[in-house]
This record gives sequence, structure tokens and C-alpha cells, in this order.
Amino acid sequence: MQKKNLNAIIHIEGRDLRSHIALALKILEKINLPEKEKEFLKLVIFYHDLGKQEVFSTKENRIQTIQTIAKGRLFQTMALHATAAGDKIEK
Amino acid sequence: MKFAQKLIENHMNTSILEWKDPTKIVRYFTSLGKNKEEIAETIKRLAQVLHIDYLATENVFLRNGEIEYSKNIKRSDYNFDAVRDKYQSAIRPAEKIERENKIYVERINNCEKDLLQIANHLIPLTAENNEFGNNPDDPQEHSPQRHEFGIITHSKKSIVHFSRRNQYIKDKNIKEKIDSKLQETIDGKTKLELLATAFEFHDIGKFLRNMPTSEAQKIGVDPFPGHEKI
Repeated sequence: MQKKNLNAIIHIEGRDLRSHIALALKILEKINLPEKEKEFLKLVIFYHDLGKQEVFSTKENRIQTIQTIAKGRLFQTMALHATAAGDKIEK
Repeated sequence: MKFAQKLIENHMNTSILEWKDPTKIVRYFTSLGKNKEEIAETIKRLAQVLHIDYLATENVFLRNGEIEYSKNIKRSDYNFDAVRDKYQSAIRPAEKIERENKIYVERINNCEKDLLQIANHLIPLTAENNEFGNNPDDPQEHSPQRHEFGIITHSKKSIVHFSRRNQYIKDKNIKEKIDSKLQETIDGKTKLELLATAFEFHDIGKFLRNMPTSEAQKIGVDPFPGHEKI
């Protein structure tokens, strides 16, 4: 990392987005909550990063990723992903 | 489904606890629900989602040549009590800012109309004042060496800059002292209201000038002597 001028790797969530979601769902499963609440949270957790598919290859996001790496942080940014897949989630 | 979507759309707003602008804070929270209960429910669920997301996320840092694992602290700090307190503590300051803004907006909106009326009433109807009477906001009729704008625009801008005073004062203690003084009242009006009014009318005496500005400049005298006393 030092050789490459990197000081941080951000967002190590597992092999990929799917494994992050799978891990989050596993964690949710272990939390003591009423079943109905859990079902609702499962839905949110399942889709909460869906917008990343929409934004990862946009021009703005590429620029932001390059800027982040230039600062020494190895991180694929996902700018505005939280709001990027609203209509798809509903569908 | 709409509620789930709302949570997803807000799951990256984890820096709320660092926000300082009360108006921004209140505006954000009121977008989370129609009433206190809805807002509280949204915060509660968001806190749960962020906590789970936090547990399922890890950062790796290189510190002093050693690899270090850490969590996204912002997400763990986003707990129901802390976020609710942040919202509640911003409500009163935001209301105060809103009340103040109303005063500025009212004064700024009325300024031009008020001062034009006063100018029409005060500028003496003489041949040498013809141009000044036709355009009391002409910068050339003000004192161009000292003022970039005409009397009316200058007065309006003074209210605008008064409203932005906190951007110009760096010392937090001084800001607070000034803000608290401005809340004191005289005859039922806050000093802030009275000062905003004073800024609007502070130069009306200039409409009663002794001689045209261009002439006064030629002979090197002030075109508006004693204007502050009129």
C-alpha cells in the first residue's frame, strides 16, 4: 500500500456487493426484533445498495473515484447511489 | 414500500450529527415525516438500518506501516437518541432564524418602494435637482468616490449585509454576544428589528442635499453635510 501511495482501503464488505448484503441480512437475522419489523428491515437492507449498479459507471462517479484514489484512498465511490434506484425498487 | 424507499434514500445521510446550520437540520428532518411521530419512526428505522450496514462494513487503513481494520464510526454514532436530540436542539434556533429572516425579507422588499416615496417627498423641486429627482438611486448622484451604489441600493444592501453579519464575524463568542444583544427589546421591538429599520432609512437625509454631488465634488466639499441629523 505504501509503495502505491495508499493509506486506506475503504468499504471492505466482502467479495462483492452481494456478499455485503448477505452479511447484513445475516446480522439482521440475529437481532432481537419482532418478526414483522424484521421482515420490513430485510426489504430495506436487501435493496439499500441497489443504486450502486446505477451510478458506478457514470462519468461523475468515475471522476470522483479518481479523485479519491489520488488522495490515497483505494475506494470505488458510489456518488448519489442512495437515491439512484428509487423507481426500480418500487417495481 | 414508500417508507422503505425513504429509508434507502436517506441511508447515506450519516453526517447529520456534524451539521451546524439549524435551518438545514430542521428542513432535513421535516422532510422525513408529516409529524413528530412519523419523523421519530423514520429516525428509529434509519438508525436500525445504519447499524446493520455498519456491522456489515469494514475499512482498512494503513497507519505507521501497519494495516488497521476499523468501522464506519459515523454509522454507529447514528443512534435514535443522538439524532433525535440533534433535531430537537435545532428547532428553536431554526425558528429564531426564520423570524429574523422574515424581518429582513420584509425590509428588503419594502426598501425600494419606501425610499422612492421618501425621495419624491424630500428632494427639493429645483432645476439643479432635476436628474436626482428623476433617479434618486443614481450612483452618480450619491457620492461616487465613497459609494459604488445609489442611495436606495446602498440602503438595501446594508440590510442584506446586516443579515449576513455572522458570515463576517469569526469569533463565536462575539457572534453569540451580538445575537443576544439583538434580541433585547425596546418598546416591544427587538433591537434586531430596529436596526434593520435603521439600515433601511439611515441615509434618507441625503435626499435633502445642499447642492448637486458633481458640484460639491468640484469644490471638494461633502454633498450631504449633516445628513445623519435630518
